[in-house]
Amino acid sequence: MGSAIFFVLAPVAVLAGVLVFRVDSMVRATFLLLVSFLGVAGLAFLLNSGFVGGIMLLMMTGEMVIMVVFMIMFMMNPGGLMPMKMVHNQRFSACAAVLTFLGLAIVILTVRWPAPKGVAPADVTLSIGEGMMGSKMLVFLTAGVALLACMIAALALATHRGRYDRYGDDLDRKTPDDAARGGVGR
Amino acid sequence: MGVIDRLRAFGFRRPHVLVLVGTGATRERLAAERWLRTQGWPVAATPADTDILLVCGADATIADAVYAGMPLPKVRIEFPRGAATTVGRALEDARKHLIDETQARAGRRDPPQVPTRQENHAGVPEPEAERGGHGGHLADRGGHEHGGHGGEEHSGHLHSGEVAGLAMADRAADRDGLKLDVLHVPLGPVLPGWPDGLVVDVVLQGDLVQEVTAVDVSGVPAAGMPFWSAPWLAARAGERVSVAEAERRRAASHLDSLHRLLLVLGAEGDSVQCAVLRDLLLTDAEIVDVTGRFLALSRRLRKSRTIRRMTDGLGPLSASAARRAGVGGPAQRGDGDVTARMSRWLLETGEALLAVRNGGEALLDADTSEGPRGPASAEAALLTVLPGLIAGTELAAARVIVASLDPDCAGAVVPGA
Amino acid sequence: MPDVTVWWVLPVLPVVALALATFAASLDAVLGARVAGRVVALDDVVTPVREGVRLLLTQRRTTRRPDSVVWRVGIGMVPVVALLAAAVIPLGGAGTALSDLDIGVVWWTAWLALLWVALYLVGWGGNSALSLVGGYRFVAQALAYEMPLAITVITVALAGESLRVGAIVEAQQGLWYVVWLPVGFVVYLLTGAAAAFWGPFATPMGADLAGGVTVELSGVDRLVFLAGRYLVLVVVAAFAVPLFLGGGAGPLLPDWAWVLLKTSAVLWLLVWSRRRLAAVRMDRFEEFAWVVLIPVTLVQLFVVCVIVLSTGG
Repeated sequence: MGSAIFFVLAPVAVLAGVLVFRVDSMVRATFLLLVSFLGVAGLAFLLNSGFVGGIMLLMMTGEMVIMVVFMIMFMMNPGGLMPMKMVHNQRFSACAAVLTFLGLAIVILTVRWPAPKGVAPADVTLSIGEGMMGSKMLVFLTAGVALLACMIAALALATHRGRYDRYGDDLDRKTPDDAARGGVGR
Repeated sequence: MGVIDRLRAFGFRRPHVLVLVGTGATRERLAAERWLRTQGWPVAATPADTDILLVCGADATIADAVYAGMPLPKVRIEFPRGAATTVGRALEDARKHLIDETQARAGRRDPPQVPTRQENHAGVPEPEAERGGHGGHLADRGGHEHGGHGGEEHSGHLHSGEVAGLAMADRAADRDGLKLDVLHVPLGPVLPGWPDGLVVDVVLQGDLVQEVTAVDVSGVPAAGMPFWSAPWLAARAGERVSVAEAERRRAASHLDSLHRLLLVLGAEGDSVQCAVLRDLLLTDAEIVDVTGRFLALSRRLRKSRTIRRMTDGLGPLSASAARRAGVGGPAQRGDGDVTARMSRWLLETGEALLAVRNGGEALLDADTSEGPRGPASAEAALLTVLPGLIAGTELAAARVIVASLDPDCAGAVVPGA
Repeated sequence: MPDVTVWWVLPVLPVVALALATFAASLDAVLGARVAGRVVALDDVVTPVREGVRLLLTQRRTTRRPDSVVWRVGIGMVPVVALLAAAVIPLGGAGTALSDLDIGVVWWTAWLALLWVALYLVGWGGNSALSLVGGYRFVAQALAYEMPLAITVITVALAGESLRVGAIVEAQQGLWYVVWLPVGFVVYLLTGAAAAFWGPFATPMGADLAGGVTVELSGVDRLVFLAGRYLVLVVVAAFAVPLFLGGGAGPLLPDWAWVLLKTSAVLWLLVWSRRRLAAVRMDRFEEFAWVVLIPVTLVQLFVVCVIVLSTGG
């Protein structure tokens, strides 16, 4: 049963991944990429890591939909109207892809993989949680907060209107001067 | 009757009807809406969900486009003229045709190509949609950059004007100063809760109305006076019109506007309530009963924090600005945003209902009393302020603003022009 | 996989879900008839069946130059995603879910998230401006509702000290979570309705867009989409039962009857609220979701943390 599922999901993941570069529509490319990720998430379920699989499903869906937000800006032609080339800079990309593949293949084939020690934990989710929040907690929290700070900083740099534009030079405007009103108390 | 035939009859017991209203066909629209509601036949919002197209004085070209966009089986009827047939009878007959049509269709299969895209639910044929002024943006097309992509290979994203006879997206600066894809979309004349016969051409970026390129009234207004101000026009022409009758019309007019505004706001229950009260008023129902129900509805609407949150600050039109533009009626007296105009309608409806009770058989004085939509020129003035109010708003907000002005295009078109 | 799959549930689950969806649509039609001032007739009660027959008899229309593959995939995804999410919902007592996965709560959340993709694809595929805007609206809505919904669901899982739905039901046999997480229950209903684009959150298929994502759908396409949408509503209502209402617990009646009763009650509440509330637009609601709902759910999460730790969990 498990291997049957593997031989369905693995080709789906690879094929969808290849198709991302063969279709001529941003929407199709984006959601084929999602299909590829979903295949990988299914493989995580096979490896008894349902939590990882579920989170992958959730996160990848979220990421692809966030890409849609950018499509709003660049694409107002719905349907299959506007064919788009989804590959750029082909020669360099091809070289990079082949080299990466060769590198990884060589490592996989030549490294002496350690034999598994002990038995798999009964509750994988629990051991993931303990791993993240136990001894590795400092690393995870630092990385997490640093990422959040980067995102906020990037937003602050990218927006062309700061609080002085919105609330006036002395920040004394009662309601901000925005193109559209927000929802809470304004 | 076989099982299949029974099934056909059952499936179309309540067909979906699209009421296509031309400029000034208010009386026909009200009759149709009332019959559909009392019979429980759903009102279709889009040609794709329509079984029967009921044309009330709309342009033939628009009706053709809508009809072409409907899936089979489909039936198209004109609003019956004269007293010989009622709209109910006509619709019942149309339903029978529809069921016959399904039987005739069984066996042959030919999915038609629908002349669609933004044009089709608007029901406007393509040449119409082209009017949006593509030429003005042609100069922008060459010089665009694809930030970050690098290389020369981004030939894929050409803005080539037309593909398969359909207009392509354009580029224009958005309100944050970025140059992004835009689409020319005509709003109307087939949209739920949209003023009869109005067509507004907009440039959309995402769901943001970047700019209004044209405001048009499609078709020729139906013969006769604009329905809502008819009592006042009749009184001015020397006829004897009672105050009670005129004020009934005023209350019904505002309730109709409220019905559409609430529909656009997605307050379905209250919207239907307004339509029920409107129809009661127009069928000479007991005024005490209507007043009681209206006051309860009015109190609920005024208290609704959700509606206020959704309408506050939309489409501000101060009384002085309105007066300068020549806008009159509740839109001017509202002196503010959508919320203000909505409360103004509620207030004036309440006053009108009171006047019906107190007015008795007194005669309407057309010199001192003004119709529900303001002076005669006010509707045309509303259409001139409209582009300024909806440019730069989100599509949903633009729809709400238009519904809160609810111009009666029959009054906006100069007769004979 | 270590999780037991209860095979007899496989044929039962879609039937029960579809029956509940029909119930919800029928209830909606009856309430609609009452608002319109009609005497409720049999024709109102059978509305979902009649509409189903009507749509099957209606031609499946196409538009000019649609992205048919993407369009049809999006339409089909709606019911499929709903049924997949339903796989972890117990139909009665313990061991009556199709599979009581050890990460059931994550499973449910993740599949419902695929609705974002489904609606965007339906909106985009039809090659129509209004349906495209409808698809974009749901993306904006997702950004508003997903975080409060996820935090609320996580809070319940924390209170039950498990991601397994069965364990959460067991943990609340003393006291239903609706009692000690009332805020969570309200936020769940609100954001759940948003996930099912129902009621005040139905703007992706709103009347102001002439039906939004559904503007070009006809025939069997429309039927699958609308039925799928009711299935999503059912799945949202049904998941409230193990999360907040003690699953199948209740006196006298068997577990499955209680599950059915509670699910119907939540469904009734959701359907009834549709005509009571005006639609909320995301340009106004987005900020409310982030500035009010998320902090509220976070505070509740914190309180539950403290309680769980102090009672020696």
